[in-house]
Amino acid sequence: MQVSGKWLAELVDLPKDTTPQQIADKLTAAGLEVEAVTDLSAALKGVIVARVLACVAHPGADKLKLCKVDGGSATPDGAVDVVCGAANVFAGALVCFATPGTVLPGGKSIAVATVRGVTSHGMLCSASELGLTSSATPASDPSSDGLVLLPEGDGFSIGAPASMAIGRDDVVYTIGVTPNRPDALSHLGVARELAAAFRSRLKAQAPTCAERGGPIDTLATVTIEDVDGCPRYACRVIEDVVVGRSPRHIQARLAAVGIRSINNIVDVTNLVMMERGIPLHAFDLDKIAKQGTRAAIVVRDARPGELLVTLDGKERLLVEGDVVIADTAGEGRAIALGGVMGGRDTEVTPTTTRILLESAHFNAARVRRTARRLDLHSEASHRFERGADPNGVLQSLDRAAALVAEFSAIVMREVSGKEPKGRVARGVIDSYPKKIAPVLVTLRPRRAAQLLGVPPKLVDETSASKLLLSLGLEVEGREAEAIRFRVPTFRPDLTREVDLIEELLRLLGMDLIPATLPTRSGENESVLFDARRHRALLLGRRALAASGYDEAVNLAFASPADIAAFGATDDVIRLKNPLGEERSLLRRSLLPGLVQNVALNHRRGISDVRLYEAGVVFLGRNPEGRTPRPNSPAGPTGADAFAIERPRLAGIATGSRSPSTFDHKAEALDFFDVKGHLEDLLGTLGATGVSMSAFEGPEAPVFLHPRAAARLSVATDAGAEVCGLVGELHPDLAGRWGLKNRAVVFDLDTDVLARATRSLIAARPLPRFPAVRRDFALVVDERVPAAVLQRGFADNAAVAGLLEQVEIFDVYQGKGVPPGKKSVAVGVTLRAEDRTLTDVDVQRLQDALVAGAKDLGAEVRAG
Amino acid sequence: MTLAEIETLLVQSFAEAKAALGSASTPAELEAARVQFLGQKGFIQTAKKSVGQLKDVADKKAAGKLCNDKDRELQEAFQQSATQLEERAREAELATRLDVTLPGRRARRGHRHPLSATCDDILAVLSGLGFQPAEGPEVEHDFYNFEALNMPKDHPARDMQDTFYVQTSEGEGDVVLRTHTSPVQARTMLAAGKPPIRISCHGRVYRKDEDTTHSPMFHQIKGLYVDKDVTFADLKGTLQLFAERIFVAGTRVRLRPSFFPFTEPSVEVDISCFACGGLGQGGTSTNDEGRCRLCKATGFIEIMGAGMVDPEVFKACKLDPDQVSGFAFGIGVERVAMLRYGISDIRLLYENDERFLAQFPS
Repeated sequence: MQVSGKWLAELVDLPKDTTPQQIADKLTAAGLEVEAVTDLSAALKGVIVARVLACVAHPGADKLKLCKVDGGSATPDGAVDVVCGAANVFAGALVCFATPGTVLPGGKSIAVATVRGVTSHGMLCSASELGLTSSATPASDPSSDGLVLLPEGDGFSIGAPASMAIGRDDVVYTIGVTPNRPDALSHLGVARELAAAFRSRLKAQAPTCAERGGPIDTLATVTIEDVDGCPRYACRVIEDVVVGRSPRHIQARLAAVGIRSINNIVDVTNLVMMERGIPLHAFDLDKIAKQGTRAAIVVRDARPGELLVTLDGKERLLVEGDVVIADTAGEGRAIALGGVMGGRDTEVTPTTTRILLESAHFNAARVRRTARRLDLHSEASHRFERGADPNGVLQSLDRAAALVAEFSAIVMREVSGKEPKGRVARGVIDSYPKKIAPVLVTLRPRRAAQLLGVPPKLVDETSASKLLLSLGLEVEGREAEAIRFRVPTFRPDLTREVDLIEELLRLLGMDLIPATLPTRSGENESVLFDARRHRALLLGRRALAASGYDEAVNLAFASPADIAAFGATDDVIRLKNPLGEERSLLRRSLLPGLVQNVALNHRRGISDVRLYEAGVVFLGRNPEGRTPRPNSPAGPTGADAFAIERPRLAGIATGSRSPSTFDHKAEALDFFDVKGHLEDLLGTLGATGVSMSAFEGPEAPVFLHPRAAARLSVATDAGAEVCGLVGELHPDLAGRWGLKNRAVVFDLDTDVLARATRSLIAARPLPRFPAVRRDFALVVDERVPAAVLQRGFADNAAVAGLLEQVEIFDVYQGKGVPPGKKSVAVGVTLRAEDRTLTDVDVQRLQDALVAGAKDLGAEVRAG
Repeated sequence: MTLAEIETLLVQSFAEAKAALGSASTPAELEAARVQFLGQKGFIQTAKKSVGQLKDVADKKAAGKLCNDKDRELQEAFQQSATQLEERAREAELATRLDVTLPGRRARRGHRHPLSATCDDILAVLSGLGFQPAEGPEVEHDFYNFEALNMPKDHPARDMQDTFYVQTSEGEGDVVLRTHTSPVQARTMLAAGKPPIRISCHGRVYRKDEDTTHSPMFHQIKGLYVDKDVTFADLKGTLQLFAERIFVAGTRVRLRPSFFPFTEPSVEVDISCFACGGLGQGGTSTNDEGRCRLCKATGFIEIMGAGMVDPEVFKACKLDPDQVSGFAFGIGVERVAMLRYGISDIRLLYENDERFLAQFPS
């Protein structure tokens, strides 16, 4: 909302010498946040009113003219030469002259310059050069982009700033009005706030309107059929209007607050709306269908399928629930969309002579629904959907009718010099079947002091009343320790005691509120928090950082291609209104985001990348989540969540194992590096029962290289649980997504990690007796997994209680090993807790282990 | 061999051996000489074996003594030479110099994302003030995201949060990507059923908005305190403490009236600018004219919204507004992280460029 300082000054008495910044600060402190203060004249600094004394053809150019320009005190050495290209310049013209050094609103710098051999000491300005819309300037011919020609006789002195001459001597406040304050969408409303803030008062505003025309009853009738949609509809008729341009200062005023001038009639409706907050609409009375002599207005619910061409030229398909203003043509024709926009067929045009001026009140929710459905957000709908004042309808109507008559007269006088015209018909039609009365709200001053935490004196009956009266509230009555206030209908946001308490807080100011800390300290446990998961993530993050992984954060959106690449499925959460197809779904996996992060790094020449992300994925719909169940015991804790949301911890690694150094060349990391990182991670969590197995056949994920794709499981309270997967990214996918190197990925279920996390770790004493190590070379079929051999040793009954470690320290294929076989070197550490193992013991154990290995089909090469 | 032959062998070879041991210039040469002369096949051993074959006891004794003398002498020469070589080697090693300016070998360490680190910091501060973390669904029913928070359908306040809607089946209610973490407050109040409630609701939220300071997904933390007799003054005090702990000691808080549907009264919370100390000029982030860029020379930075829980919210969450009161406040994690680290484009936070991430602590 743009608010003009000049306009405000007409509505409220402010202390003398109040600066714009002080006004802005007061408004902001009152909750009307001033986002910008713009001094319109500052943009025209250096531009002055000047007189063209002489004007001759430029000696060196056909289309240019050479002018002698008198700038008064700005040209102390007498008139200066200025080259001008405008067609409408003439000797004697009163113009806006940009002196050298000026920077025009468009950013153009003016300097003394030589134009085709003639020195030019500045520039004569057009409307666009001055940053004005052509219709908002007093230029005599709006269609040309010629110079702005100032009218004679308005008392502009030569050399004075041009800003005043063109109505730009104003300060504009840009206010961010919150949706609860429709009253602040008008100058009167803002002025009221200022009056309260400065403890000042509004200037009297009681619009009147001289009725010099015939009785309105003979000209129009109004029937409200849809009282819900339109509780009040009032109108006046003005005859003998002359449509033309608005007076110069009105155009400037509208321009200042960001509204384009259309014509004197439409401008009046906008002017009154900006002044009083009530949107108005003007119909050409003669385009409304008549019943007899009378234009018959019917306000009703739209019929399904009904069509209306709105003022912006678009044909709108209406539905039930839209409020239409209709006439009685045919079956009844919609002529305007109530509270949103007028219709083109009854628009005011230059030939219009009779106006029906509407001032009405429309149902906020209905207007909002219509505006949203049609994506048609107008100044009118903006105000009605927030709540315009139903009881300010008549004042606005009177004010507007008087202005229409006045501006018609001005146009008449300007155009033909004839007698003023524009007669307001006698009487008003005011159909108000459902009166909206001011709300009564009771305030308990004690409650106010209690909620705000202030001394009771600050908001006792006397001071509370005084403060609220300054906002236009009235005391309706008193009860024991309570005051009943009547809230004016322009403040629809004040319906409850707490709303009044907020007003008291605004008016008192925040500085008067003490700063205290809550003193009560009751038991307090979060019911929507999984501390175990939190702890697992904390430890997991620490471990991954130690393994060189940077933490990534990706948006949770996914494209259909992302979903397909990681296992096509229809069980996806889709957005109704996405930011494009590429972000139309919610991710089912963290991996696509991470792969794309690596691709971005690769494109930027960074080859060593390790990233992980902790976040939820969305695995389709939760069958229990069709509707919210706030009243069931489990619903609010998440059982009624619409989607299945699962926390995951996923990562990707690519590039070198360790950074290359001056004496060591980097080696590429591979599957076993990442497996090691995960083992470290699980070790940090204290997880036990960690095991990996290769995916077999069709269960292998499509996005992993078949040679290195493994499932990870851990021991939890529930036994052995699958915790996730690790593997090399499929080379096809890596290539398609722009990765320059092989990458290894992992994707873990954070909840399983949480269940595997041990919070208590029992320390073991150090061993007291020495260990013995024996190495074995086992030649086995190459398809036998190392883990089988390892487990074979570990599970050998003979070594139960004595086996400390089984380590695989070499795998060999080639010379000396038959084809299809491999030689696996296994180191076994044996130790007894209570004695030193003897040679005899060791030999016996070794024999047992060899026998066990043979049972597994291994040929034992050495002992 | 006769005694004479043994003596000749010992005397002749001795000189050669001693010279070789004494002149060895490397440990390898010395070892070669030791093996050649003192080893199993060296002349000492050869002589010793021959001594055993002598018949005459006196000869045997004399030859044995000679053998032992020469052996000992050569062993000593060897030791001396070895010691000398070691000393020389030590001296030579001590004379060498590493180029200590060559880069150190570093293990690769990962880094925390500035958003999650900032989020944890804020949660830690709130935890110190008694606020327990709370989490909830990101795909949320309209009821929890809007209606329970005093934003009924067709309420203009819904325009304040441009919302992503989720596709649902025929006849189902609206489902959204949560526009704030406040639904977790509603869920907690409904689930807990009674005060005191003191939680910090953190997590990802979504709004249909995208430019250099807005991302369609971002992170938010909302604090909620519900109890008997909680006052606005308590809110002010809590915000003051919170701001000082998140930013720097001495940070001042300024409250401005504002509007949020779920609080009444509602305020915007500004903090004094930590770059210029609230002066609007000077400090650590100035433009060419010496004015503070961070706060745009205003001295204050808008940082969060807050207010007293609206009675309608209590009613929707089955708490009696006559019996309890409470306050809530919300802060954007991105905003805090961008302010703290001087990040001007929010998109940097989601690109995950390794060079960007590597700037932050582990």
